[in-house]
Amino acid sequence: MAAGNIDNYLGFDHRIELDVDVPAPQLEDMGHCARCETILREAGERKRNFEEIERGLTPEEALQESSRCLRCDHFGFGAFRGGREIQW
Amino acid sequence: MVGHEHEQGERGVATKAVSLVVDGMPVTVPAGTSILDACRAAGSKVPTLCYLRELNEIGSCRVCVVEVKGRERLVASCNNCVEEGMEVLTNSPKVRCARRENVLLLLSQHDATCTTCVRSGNCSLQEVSNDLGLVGMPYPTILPHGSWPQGFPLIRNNDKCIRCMRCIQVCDKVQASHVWGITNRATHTTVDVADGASILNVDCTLCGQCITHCPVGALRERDDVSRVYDALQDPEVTTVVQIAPSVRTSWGDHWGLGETAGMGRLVSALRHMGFDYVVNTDVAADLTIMEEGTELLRHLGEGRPYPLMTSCCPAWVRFVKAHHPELVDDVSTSKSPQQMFGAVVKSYYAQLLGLDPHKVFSLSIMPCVAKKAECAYPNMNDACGDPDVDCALTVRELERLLRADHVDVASLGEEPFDEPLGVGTGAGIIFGATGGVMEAALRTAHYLVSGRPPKDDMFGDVRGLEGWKEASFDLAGTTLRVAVAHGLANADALCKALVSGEAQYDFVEVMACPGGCVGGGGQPIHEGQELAGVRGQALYGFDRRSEWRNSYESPAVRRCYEEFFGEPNSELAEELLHTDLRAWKMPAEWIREAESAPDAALARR
Repeated sequence: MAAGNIDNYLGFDHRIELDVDVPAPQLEDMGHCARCETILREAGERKRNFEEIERGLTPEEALQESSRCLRCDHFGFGAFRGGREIQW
Repeated sequence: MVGHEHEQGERGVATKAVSLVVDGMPVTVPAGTSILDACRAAGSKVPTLCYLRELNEIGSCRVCVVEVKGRERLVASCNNCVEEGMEVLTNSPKVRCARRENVLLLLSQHDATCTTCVRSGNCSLQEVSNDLGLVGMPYPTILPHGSWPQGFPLIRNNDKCIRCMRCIQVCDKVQASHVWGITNRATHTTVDVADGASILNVDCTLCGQCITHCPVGALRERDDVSRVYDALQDPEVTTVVQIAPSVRTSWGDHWGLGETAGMGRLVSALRHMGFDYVVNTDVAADLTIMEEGTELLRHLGEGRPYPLMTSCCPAWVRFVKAHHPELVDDVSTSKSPQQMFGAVVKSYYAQLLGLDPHKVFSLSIMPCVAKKAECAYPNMNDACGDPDVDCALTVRELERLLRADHVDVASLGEEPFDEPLGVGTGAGIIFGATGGVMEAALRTAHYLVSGRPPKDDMFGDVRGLEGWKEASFDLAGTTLRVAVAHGLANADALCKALVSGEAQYDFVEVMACPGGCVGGGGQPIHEGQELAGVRGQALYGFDRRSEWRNSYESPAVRRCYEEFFGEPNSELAEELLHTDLRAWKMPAEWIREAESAPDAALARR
């Protein structure tokens, strides 16, 4: 939302569309699963250059992160207002 | 076995059947059915609280939770769909415990002073809590408090709100008014006027649909019953009470009289309570038709850009003034029946009875909350300078009035209204249903144009519960294009189409409440039921059985014109029966005015 407002303020009207089919929310229980902590480069290694500090998520980690989605578009506030936004 | 009463295909294309087991009972329902409906089809009644079919299916109150075998977490049954082979338990130990705890937690944030609550005995929270057999309260009560202008016709009590969100949904989706919103986060989340505004500064139409869809006593009308008692006990004051057409279908609900209750017993009850004159708003509805019908014929000849629009519904008038200012000049200047009658009561009627109009208390019984605002507009005082209608009660307040006097409704006989303003026509009666004002107007317009009485029910095309109806009729060679909308979201769509030029009509009727006044925001509340349909049908039944069915035939109306007004739209009629809709302002009108001329607005301060 903030990004969209900044974009509009700067005079743009960029649209980001969701191009995957979002699966229907499942009633299956979700197992306990902690958050992936992104790996940071060692302080000594990141000295004196402008390379990324965070290493980002691996594909496996990204998959695990998205499987932690609580589906608040259906089980939370989204059930009341709006549901899933398919365009930003 | 099969949920035969389930409307197949209601939630989109439901072709596949799904079999599941509810509390050991196998049941087959169409795919896409909610677990709640499947449970009901299987004979297991799952309690609900926030749920409102198609409007509020958000699983927020957690009262409808059920256990699905194999799943650890409980599932809200109202907004989750059945799956093949599902085994559902509606009363497992876990469900019992959770449901109980959830209701206790809701009660811990609810001002449960039931004995002095208008919804006692008709409260979903009370019912759910009583049904669960909750005894004693283990938690301290924490109430959010909050202030509210108690003089406003709509009263909200934050301490009773259970945050079911229904008021927000009805106001947004059905009434397109967006008055309510939520504020704060997490456990502090509460419903309030949207964007933290005061209710006095937003464009609430006072339709009252949030009240009739509130499961508890958080929303109600301002209670004006004490003003009625004051008038009744003042020996110098003569009380005249008028009763709106749709009240005959609902006033007796508490006593089980249903939609065919009729007026006779109510007239008798009010007379026994001490009201001096009981008169019939149907007569004023007929008067409205004579005035508005004449106005319509004039409007047709003027080549105006927009159709003539009805003005009987004060919530619609508030809506159009706030949201579609370009249409206001084409809204009929004819007052609503309530206000016409008020002006007649304090002029012609007072004269007829030899009364000082300043000593007359003019009361109306209405299915409506907006009528409370309407009768208090500064220019609704045309007859003698005092308000033409002193007080407007909703049907719910009428019920409280009768119950407080322990009126034995069952043993009452039927009594006629006081003459000469006692007998209306069938056309006046159907004013209470969507399409009714249109049909009544067409019947009389047909007569005025062709000189022949209309055939029975020849304008029936404008009946029914479709949100936006249109029809064309031949009036002595010219085609009259009409439209009827009810529910303000439908009215909003119609207004936008008129302004953009997509839709063109000659005459438009709008009623703010779904189904018209029979579904009014001042009607008795029945949880989960929309009774406008059956009540509307009852009105058409009363119409069929009326001695006169057309407003122009009404002896009362004829007498009014012969003895007092002369003819429709006469100078006296313009003075007493018409009004200037721009003489008072909605908040949006103040804002537009200030924006277009900021200096003038500042100078006025």
